[in-house]
Amino acid sequence: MFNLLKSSISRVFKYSGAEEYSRRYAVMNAFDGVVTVLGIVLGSTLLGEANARSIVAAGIGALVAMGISGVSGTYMAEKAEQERRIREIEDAMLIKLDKSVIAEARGKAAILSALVDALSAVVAGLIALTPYLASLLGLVTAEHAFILSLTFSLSLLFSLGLFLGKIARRNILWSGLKSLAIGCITILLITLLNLIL
Amino acid sequence: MIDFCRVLSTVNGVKRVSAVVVEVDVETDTVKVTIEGRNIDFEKVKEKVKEMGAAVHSVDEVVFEE
Repeated sequence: MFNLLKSSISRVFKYSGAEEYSRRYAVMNAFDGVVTVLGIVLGSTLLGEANARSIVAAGIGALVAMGISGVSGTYMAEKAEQERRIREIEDAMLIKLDKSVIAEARGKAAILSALVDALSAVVAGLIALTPYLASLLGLVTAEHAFILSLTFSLSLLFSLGLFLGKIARRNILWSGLKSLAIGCITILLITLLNLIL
Repeated sequence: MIDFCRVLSTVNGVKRVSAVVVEVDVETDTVKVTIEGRNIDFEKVKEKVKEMGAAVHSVDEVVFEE
């Protein structure tokens, strides 16, 4: 089953050239998911009265919204782009590509990109939110949940940086540190805001 | 091109498929395909070519033999 899915996705990428876009959506939206939850966790803890329930509620609400926004927006944008590309090829070849593997793959590529967009944000955000879910279940205290959530968020950002470095064939450690810096800047800005308010 | 040839080789009667790139354009590649076999179902070949997102521009050589 897994092999069938893998070869199906591979075929879609082969005939649509959408692998690059999907990778881009995955990384961009994973960043969005993690940094959004990081912001909610920090904002609630440093600026307001935070409890695990309200943080989880806000986090899940934000991730659901991001997922819906991601899937619908990306699907419509990708579908338009893929259709434009099919028309270009048809004009060059003077034939219709309606029932071809190219049209089929490009149609599926739009769906795949939309799913990647939504899932990457939701999964990354949930990873950052997991300690608070654990806190709701009584597995960790709220204080530990805060520290764990920060640790998970920063680790995930660092990992995304390593991944980007590997793709670009650059120094992966430097790439990881640059991504980590994004998380640190978020923490710094919200802490400064706390001091001002 | 490998997939393209593989798909054409599945047509009834086709025993051998070879393909050579003749011209490369911004949007398209022109490929000369040679198909050999007995009782080749040419309509099916055209159908498969279309399925693979290609077009038959011309048939340049045909051989019938007993």
